[in-house]
Amino acid sequence: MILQDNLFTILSHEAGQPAFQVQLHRDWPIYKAHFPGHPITPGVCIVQMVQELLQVHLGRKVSLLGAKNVKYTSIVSPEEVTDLTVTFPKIDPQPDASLKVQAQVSAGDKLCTKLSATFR
Amino acid sequence: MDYELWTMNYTDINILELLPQRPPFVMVDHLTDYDETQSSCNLTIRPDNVFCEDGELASAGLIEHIAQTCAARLGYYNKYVLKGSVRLGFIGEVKDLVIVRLPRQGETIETTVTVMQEIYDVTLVSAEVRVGTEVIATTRLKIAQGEQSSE
Repeated sequence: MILQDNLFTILSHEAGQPAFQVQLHRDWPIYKAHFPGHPITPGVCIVQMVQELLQVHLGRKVSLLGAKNVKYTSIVSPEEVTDLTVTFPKIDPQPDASLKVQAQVSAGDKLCTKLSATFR
Repeated sequence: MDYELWTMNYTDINILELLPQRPPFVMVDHLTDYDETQSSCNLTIRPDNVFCEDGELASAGLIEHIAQTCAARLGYYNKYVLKGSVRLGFIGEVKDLVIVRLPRQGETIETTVTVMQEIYDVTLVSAEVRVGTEVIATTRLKIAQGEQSSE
């Protein structure tokens, strides 16, 4: 399941900058399954969205090797919020060719998700 | 736990009875084991799984499977032990996730979650995902329970 253009659309991305404005699609069919009557963006899809945006930034595919920490500080309900900011404070290449990545997902000035993960 | 529950065959339970999620966003097939501190669920990776890509379950599907193993455990407790309703659940935190490899289409994964701490509506578990005896992922999760499911 590719999430770009299904769950979210990129509204803006300055070339070369690891920062994105995205908009969630309220009518994404998965919202009816997670959960019936209570649409909430699945936490795992936020991780995948971060991964897809990282791929856009890098211009290549990456896969998730692990995560030190993914912290969900507030629920992302498409009934309350659809515009999100995703930033990457850190994208550090490692000697083994993996990338140590920090990402933050916020709605306005409210932080929703903070991620510290390793991709390759 | 009463005798009837003790002798129950968990795999006979329709998983939708235990989960607030609905297809196509259901990432466990069966509860395979339950006790107060340790529970397990399985999932066979089928091509029609929404997270199945290039013959593998994507990492998001794998993490969701672990989270739903926690959800099935909580659902069983709420429904069969407390005789109440299934409640919505949310991932609060993923910690120390290690993905050794992704499960492939046709493989059956089994995940065991061990409760490390339970405080009010927040459960902290450690989880291990296996294919047979091969451990393919480990993590810790914090799951928060919310309101009752509307289904």
